[in-house]
Amino acid sequence: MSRILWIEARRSTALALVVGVVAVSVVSTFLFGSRQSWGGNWMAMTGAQRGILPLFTAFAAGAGAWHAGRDRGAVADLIAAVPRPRRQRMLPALVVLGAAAALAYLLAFTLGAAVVAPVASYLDPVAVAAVTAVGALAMLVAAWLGFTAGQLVRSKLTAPLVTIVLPAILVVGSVQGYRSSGRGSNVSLLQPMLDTPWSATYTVPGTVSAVQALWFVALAGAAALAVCAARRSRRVLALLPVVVAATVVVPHLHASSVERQIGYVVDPEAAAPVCAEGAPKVCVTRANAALLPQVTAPARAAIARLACLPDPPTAAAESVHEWDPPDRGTLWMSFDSTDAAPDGNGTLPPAQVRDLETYIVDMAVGDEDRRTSPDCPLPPASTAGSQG
Amino acid sequence: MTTATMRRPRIGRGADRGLVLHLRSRHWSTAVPTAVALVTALWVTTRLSTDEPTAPPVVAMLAVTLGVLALATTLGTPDDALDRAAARPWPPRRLANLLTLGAIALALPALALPTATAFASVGFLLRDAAGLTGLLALGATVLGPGRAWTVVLTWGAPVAVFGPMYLGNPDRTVVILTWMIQPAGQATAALAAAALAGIGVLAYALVGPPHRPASEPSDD
Repeated sequence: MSRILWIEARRSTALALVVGVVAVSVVSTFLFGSRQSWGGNWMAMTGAQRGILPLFTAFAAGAGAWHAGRDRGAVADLIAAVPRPRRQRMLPALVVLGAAAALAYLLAFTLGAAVVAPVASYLDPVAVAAVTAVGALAMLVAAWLGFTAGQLVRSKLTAPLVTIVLPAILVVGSVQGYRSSGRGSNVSLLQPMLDTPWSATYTVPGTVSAVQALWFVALAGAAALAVCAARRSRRVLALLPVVVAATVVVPHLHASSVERQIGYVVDPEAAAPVCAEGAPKVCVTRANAALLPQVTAPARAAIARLACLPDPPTAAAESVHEWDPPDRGTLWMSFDSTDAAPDGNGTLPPAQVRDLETYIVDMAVGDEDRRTSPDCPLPPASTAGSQG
Repeated sequence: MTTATMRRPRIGRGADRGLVLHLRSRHWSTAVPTAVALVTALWVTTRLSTDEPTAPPVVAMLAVTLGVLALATTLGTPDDALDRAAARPWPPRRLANLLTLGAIALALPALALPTATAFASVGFLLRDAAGLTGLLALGATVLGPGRAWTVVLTWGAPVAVFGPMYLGNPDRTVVILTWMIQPAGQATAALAAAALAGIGVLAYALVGPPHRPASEPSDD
């Protein structure tokens, strides 16, 4: 078996698939600024890898479909004349293509991990491993679905079309998912694409990864059954795992708790406060712990500037939920916006540190009550910078 | 032999006959309906999912790409060794074949212009059809017609995924890399497309697809 697998690996699109995905990964990491957007955060990098899946699956599906068209004409006649079961011919191709697709995804992840690991403050290895495993599984499914399409529709156009259509389904599914998320539906989790998480404290819950893994195993089984079926009538059997998995998976997709962003919840570990020594108290989340040395001084300056308010803030903390209760004693900060967010080195860029005090004050005076407070007339938010 | 001749439909004489034989050998009769079906399917999908009068640039680019890819099969023959043995001036024939391909790839999305959901302006479609046809022709010249689509998608797919994020960026390298989805009036993008069209069309017309030994099965 290993001999035929080795032959198949050399005589297939597997190598092209791995090289293509790794090349895209290098380009997107360093040229298209992915490294910056990860902000030295493990889950941001892991989620972002799932976000490039439309591009990665394009390679996987295209390679699968193309490989399916390899044995044609006289060669196909020759192979068809050999009295061996069809699955014996199909399995090596499936194994090699699936392994190549999953390996390509893991290599892309490894590249991201090498970039993030030196600067990250927080890692939940189980969640990161689960999200990555589901991504690798989705790549295997893409390669197998492409191979199945290539086997069932023997046309020159199958490979280019599969290359376009499968990623398009992912993108459309994800966009439609956001449109319908207001109705509490998370059916878009049936496709593997995730966004880069909007906050450093977000994680993908284990239930979501488990449910997605189950769904993709079913899709992989369906592709394998369809392609290995000896008779056309038996291909209908391929629908069986899909139907069974759907009945199990879809109710759980509705039940899984999702906050603002589809697929993500706040990780309490990552959101736990890490506070600077001394007073007044300045805290950030564990996921952004690397920002604390940069944030402490500007935050304390902002507290001092707002001391003239009737009930002045006595502490500053990074907000975890958008709906954090309005607490007059605490000055809320956020590091998810374009005004203040860690860059690829996991720290705030110098320009943002310079404006941080103004930014924190601006967020506070955005509160209507405080702006109109007669005892402490604060400048409007937009001009606050010129006074600081 | 007589039965084989009799089974074929009459295909005329002289120039007509040559044209019909050429179209048949390049699979035009399947390529054009496929292109029509694909672009129509994309139009229906777009029509159902948006109320805007014009589709997003990525969809417009996709419309031209689908046409170009479906027609890519017409750039090669089942046996090009046999083709080359024929004492015909091939460059003008290849040129005509390629220009027809580009014209159809332009015309199909342009048909949606009067409808409630147009793909893009004529200028946008013209630029994309010219540039993508050139890119395809370049791919067909270097890798062969059967693999030409990989060149189009290797450039097009990253543009479709990452390009929209960089649409306002005036950096020249960015504009050239994402020429397929730039606004119609963008001069640099138009220039990039024109350059691709020029190089691709000339290369394919003058040089043509790579020679394959007759023993190797056609991969297109």
